Amino acid sequence: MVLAIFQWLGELVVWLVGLAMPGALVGMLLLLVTLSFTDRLFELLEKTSSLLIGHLSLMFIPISVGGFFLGHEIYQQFPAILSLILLSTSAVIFFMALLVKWLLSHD
Amino acid sequence: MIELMQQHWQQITASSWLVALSIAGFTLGRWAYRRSGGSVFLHPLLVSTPIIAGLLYLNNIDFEQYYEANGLLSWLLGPTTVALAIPLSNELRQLPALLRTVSLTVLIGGFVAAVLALSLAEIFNTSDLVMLSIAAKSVTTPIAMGITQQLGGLLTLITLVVLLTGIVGIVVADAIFKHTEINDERWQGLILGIASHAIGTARAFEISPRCGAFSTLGMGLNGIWTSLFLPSLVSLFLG
Repeated sequence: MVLAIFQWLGELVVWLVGLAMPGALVGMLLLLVTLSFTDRLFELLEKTSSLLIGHLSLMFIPISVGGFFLGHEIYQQFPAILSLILLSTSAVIFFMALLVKWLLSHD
Repeated sequence: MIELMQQHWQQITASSWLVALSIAGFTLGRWAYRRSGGSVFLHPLLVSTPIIAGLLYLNNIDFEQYYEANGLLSWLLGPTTVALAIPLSNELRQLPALLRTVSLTVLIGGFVAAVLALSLAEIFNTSDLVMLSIAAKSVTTPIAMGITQQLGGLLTLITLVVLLTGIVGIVVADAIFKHTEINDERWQGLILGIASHAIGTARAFEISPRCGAFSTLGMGLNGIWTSLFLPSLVSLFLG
């Protein structure tokens, strides 16, 4: 419940300020700031949050099933899209691994 | 504000027995995943979604009906995003010492991820619409949807592309980390979060809470950063 309230607070801030960010993300930042002031909230939310986070994959199931229901035009370009994802994702992880190593050795 | 709460309430109450299908699929997927000792090729999402899609086809249930009926699960993504603040606040205390590496990795890594995706789209000669719909691929789904809507891309495509990016990321990351000798869980988590958003984060939490917290950090910072630079970068590629 507390988590939902922070989400709504986040949505409220987004709506008031006109940000392009999702409300839940702003809500998380608000909770993060609040947590640095009080320890009691941390203890209260610890159990619920680890339960929710442990089931993150479950919450992605509905939208992911949608990937099997796209139109024909998209599927025609699918080999290109797939190789693009494969190449760019592998390359960027490799690049960041080298970057982190370089940054750590030049501290 | 009241309208928003009503909207959330409707989303939750529209849920029906089809939620059980998702939960059954997830339980089966997780069982197979654990049975295999955590093989990424048997990730719960990879096992459960084809089965659920197949069952929907066989029973003539269309995707919209299924998706609406699972409003409760999709709604939970919001509070769970907020809940990520808990592990994050634990790790933030040691952040000042690591600030330089964390911020430079997010700024450069997030930018390179988008440039690579757009350049490859250009090389493979995909349509402009596809290009607009893949630009935000390394960003977590709720933020990616917001950005893609702003760019004028396809929402159904970006969710799939984001999902596949996440899966590819967790499949290749282990080998890359081994090869480049990145053994520190904190950096593994950060990289997973920047490149593979929430799926990478879910994977990172399986490695350890600390790895998950750094992944959350990478995902959150990259989401904010990408939403700032992507519109101008995309117009540069299309112009």
